[in-house]
Amino acid sequence: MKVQVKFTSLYRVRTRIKETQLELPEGSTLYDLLAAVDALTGGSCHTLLYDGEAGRPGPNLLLIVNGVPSARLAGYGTTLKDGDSVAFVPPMAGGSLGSFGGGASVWVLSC
Amino acid sequence: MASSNWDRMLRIDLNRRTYAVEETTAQLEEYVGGMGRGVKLLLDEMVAGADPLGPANRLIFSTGPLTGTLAPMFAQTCLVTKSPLTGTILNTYAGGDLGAEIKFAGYDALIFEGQADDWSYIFIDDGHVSFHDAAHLLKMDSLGTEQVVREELGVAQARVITIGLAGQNLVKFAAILSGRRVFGRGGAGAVMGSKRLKAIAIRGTRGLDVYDRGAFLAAVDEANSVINKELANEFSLLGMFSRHGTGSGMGVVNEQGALPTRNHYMGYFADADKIDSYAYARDYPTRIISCYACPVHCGQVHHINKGPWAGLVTRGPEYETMYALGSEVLNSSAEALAKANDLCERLGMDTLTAGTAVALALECAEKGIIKGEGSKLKFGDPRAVLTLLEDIAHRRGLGDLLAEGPGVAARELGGEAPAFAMQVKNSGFAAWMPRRMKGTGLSFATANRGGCHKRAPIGAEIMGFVDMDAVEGKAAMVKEIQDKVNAIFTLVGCRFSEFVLPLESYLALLEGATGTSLSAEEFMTLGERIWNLERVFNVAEGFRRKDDSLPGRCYTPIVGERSKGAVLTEEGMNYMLDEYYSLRGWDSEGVPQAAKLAELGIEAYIARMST
Repeated sequence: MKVQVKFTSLYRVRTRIKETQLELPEGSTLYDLLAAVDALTGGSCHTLLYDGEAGRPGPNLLLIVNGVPSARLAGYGTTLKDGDSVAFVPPMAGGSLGSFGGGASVWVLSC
Repeated sequence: MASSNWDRMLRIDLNRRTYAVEETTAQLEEYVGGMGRGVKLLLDEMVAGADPLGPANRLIFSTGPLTGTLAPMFAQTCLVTKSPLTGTILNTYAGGDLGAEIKFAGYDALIFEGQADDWSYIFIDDGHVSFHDAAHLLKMDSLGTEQVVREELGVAQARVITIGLAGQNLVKFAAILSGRRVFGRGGAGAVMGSKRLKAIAIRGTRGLDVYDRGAFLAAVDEANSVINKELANEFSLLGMFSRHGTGSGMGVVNEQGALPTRNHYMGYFADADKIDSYAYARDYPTRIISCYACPVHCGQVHHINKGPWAGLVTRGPEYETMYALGSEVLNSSAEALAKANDLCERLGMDTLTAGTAVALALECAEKGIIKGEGSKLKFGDPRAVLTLLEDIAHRRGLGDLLAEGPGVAARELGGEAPAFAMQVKNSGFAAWMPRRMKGTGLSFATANRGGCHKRAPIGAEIMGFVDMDAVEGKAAMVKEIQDKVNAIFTLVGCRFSEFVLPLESYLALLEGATGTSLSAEEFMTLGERIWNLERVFNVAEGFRRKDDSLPGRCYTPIVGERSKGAVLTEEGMNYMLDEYYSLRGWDSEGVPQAAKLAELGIEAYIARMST
């Protein structure tokens, strides 16, 4: 199946790719997509994609599948289908946002 | 005891060309500073129904107790006035160095009142105030005026704030320029123009002290360490702003179909990457600038060194302007966008409301609502945008109507125009889509200054921490962020400080600087009190539930990629509004109930709402 992959903001700068199409096996998940992107970029973005040696997706990733953040789907286990569009965007999260949902207070961003 | 507050304000009467230094009352001190002080002063000094462009209106430049100190991210200045654009109370903010200079001159606030017969500019030199003729400056743009005023005064280090042609012509969304920073929203520039005040220069040479130097410096160190940790991560929000400016976040918005495009018709702009921060950094020499004592330095100055406007040097565009004069009008030229941004600065106009007014005109032309010469206007033509911006500032032709604001202009244009005039209370939408981000839609609708994004749950919605399409639970989020940001704005903390500093940090800085000790709960209540005072002001001006509303387009599905079909229903909006009013302790018309005002200790203002 074919998946359209788009790199925005800092990801565009780091991968030097704006948009590309990847051929993935049926049933592939976002984990598989990360591996494909790692291979595509010849490992040059490995530390961006993964959290150290643990094989976990890096903390600075936010993937948007057809306009919906992966966190609102099944996370990195989200299964992709033919024709899906996945965008790599910077998470822009940090600081006090981390306490969001902690119950004590709702910390929210605005620009 | 020492304090970072002077407990005095400078009042300038433009009719009589007099000035007086006033001590701050204990009652006013309860409002801490910044926005709180400004709102309280305006409410107490201005009767309901007074003309915002008349002599009764005040321009109140209000600093906070941390302004001018070493505290990081407290460089802004708050300006409170009655908005000629919306008819509501207005608070608007500019960064840079102005606030620190006001403090160094020995004041916590400057209040301008009256209306002069002739154009003047004013020089505040510590304790001395002088009035100067400004007739010869009227043909100069805002940035040129700043330079000439400094030269005439012979004071190279004076901070100078100015208006441009739009302010002189009482364009309802005229801005006040403070160096390369802008009091953008709500038309404060027209208020300054109505007073025939072209510029204000200020020089301060006094030092500031704090209540407890040891405690204050410890709080500063703590705040700096939190901020610096954040800045070290180039993928954090502040880390990105610090390196690439506010336009670095465009991708995350666009990819979720939440970037207003083509007058909010669509939520995805295919050319976003041609006008975002990275496009500017890649193609043009870029210099980073900072506000006073701010380690974040999110300002970006671009030198456009090629194309039809080669030689142009402009700060920005910021993210919000990338929308208003970019995606919203289908402008994918970074150079034309920089030119439009610069034009708005020089003419002195809010880019947001200007952009929504222009987008309204483009769509009206497309739909045949505008006839004659104007019917040739079309989306995707940057030259048309530049011409319209000039026409607005000069009040020429169609521009004269657009200068009244998008809501007023749409009613005059007629037909279905009001449905796609993207404004609340006549103030143009910020760069977010209520159909995609429902809580942000509620924030736009209920904002006391209209269409405001400064107190919206944008991050939680755009980052997916909550379901952006849901209406449930949004009212509580909106109330909390409104109250919290209002409290932070009493300290005149930068809006971005809220992304990183914990509440305790604000309180420790305040206590170290002034000796004022507030609990987190008291701080939040202060924010709520101010929000209600603003609401009292607006209710007395006749604002009710019908005004807390969004234009018809918000109730039609988004068209195009990423967010096709996303919509806000009227039932959903009413659900959020009912819940919001209930949480606020307001009646179903949005009028604060007596019990709520009593609980907040502001029952004295109940009577104002029946005037």
